[in-house]
Amino acid sequence: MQIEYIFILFSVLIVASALYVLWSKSVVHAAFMLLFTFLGVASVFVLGGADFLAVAQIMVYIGGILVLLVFGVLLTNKPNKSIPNQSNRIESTNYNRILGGIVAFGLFGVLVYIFNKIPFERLEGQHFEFYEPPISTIQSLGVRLVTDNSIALEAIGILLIGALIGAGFIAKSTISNQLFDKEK
Amino acid sequence: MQIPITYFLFLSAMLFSIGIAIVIVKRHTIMILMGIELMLNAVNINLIAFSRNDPSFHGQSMTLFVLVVAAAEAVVVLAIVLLAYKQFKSVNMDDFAEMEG
Repeated sequence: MQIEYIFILFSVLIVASALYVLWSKSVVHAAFMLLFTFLGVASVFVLGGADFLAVAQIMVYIGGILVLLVFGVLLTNKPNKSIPNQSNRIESTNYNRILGGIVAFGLFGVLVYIFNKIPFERLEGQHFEFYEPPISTIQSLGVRLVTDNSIALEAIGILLIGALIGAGFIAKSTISNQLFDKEK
Repeated sequence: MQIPITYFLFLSAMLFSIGIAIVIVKRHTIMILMGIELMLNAVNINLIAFSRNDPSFHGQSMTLFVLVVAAAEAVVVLAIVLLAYKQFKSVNMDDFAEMEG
């Protein structure tokens, strides 16, 4: 089937860019490679039949979180003024490589073992009768959001307001202090 | 013809393992945040794969909430990193040994 090849193509993109994030020492390169991971995950969402969530993924992760990450890297970078014309590489040191490898491979092995044990295909056929997926999921998702999940929606809104106010309050004095130090 | 659900599951298992390896191996705070985001993405892939044939859209609503919580988390982590950089002049996790006001 052709659509499976497309899925495998995007999976290779996701896993390769995520592995680059794992191997690379440069934080900025890792942040830019994360762009491809998020784009690949959005396309996997499309292949899974969640079109609105793919758009939301691109907007929130690439437009919001990735920009925030690069912003954080740039704000916490301290170039060494004593060496002139140095290349300004922001690097992350790697520790615990063996422990990380053991944990990652162990977890992957356990997950693959479980996924092989459970006959998901048959369960899926038993519990859900096949239905024609809608052209767009936006309407049903929105209706669900304000009927069944309305309390969760309110809680999420309060959480977002709290995070916004708190982050602004914490970071305000920091950024103004840094700018003031630079001017002095 | 639908994509078999095991494809989604293996992809998310790989992504989750890479994310947890990044969290363990890296010492830069923002790299650790990247690992956490990768793990949240893996969970989202799983939720969408399981809610694929579900007309009630519970999994997709859950994915939406995970997206929002991830955004809020990134904002709070960035604020904490800025404060810790002001305090310790470093973004290395090992330098955050002492946590006094």
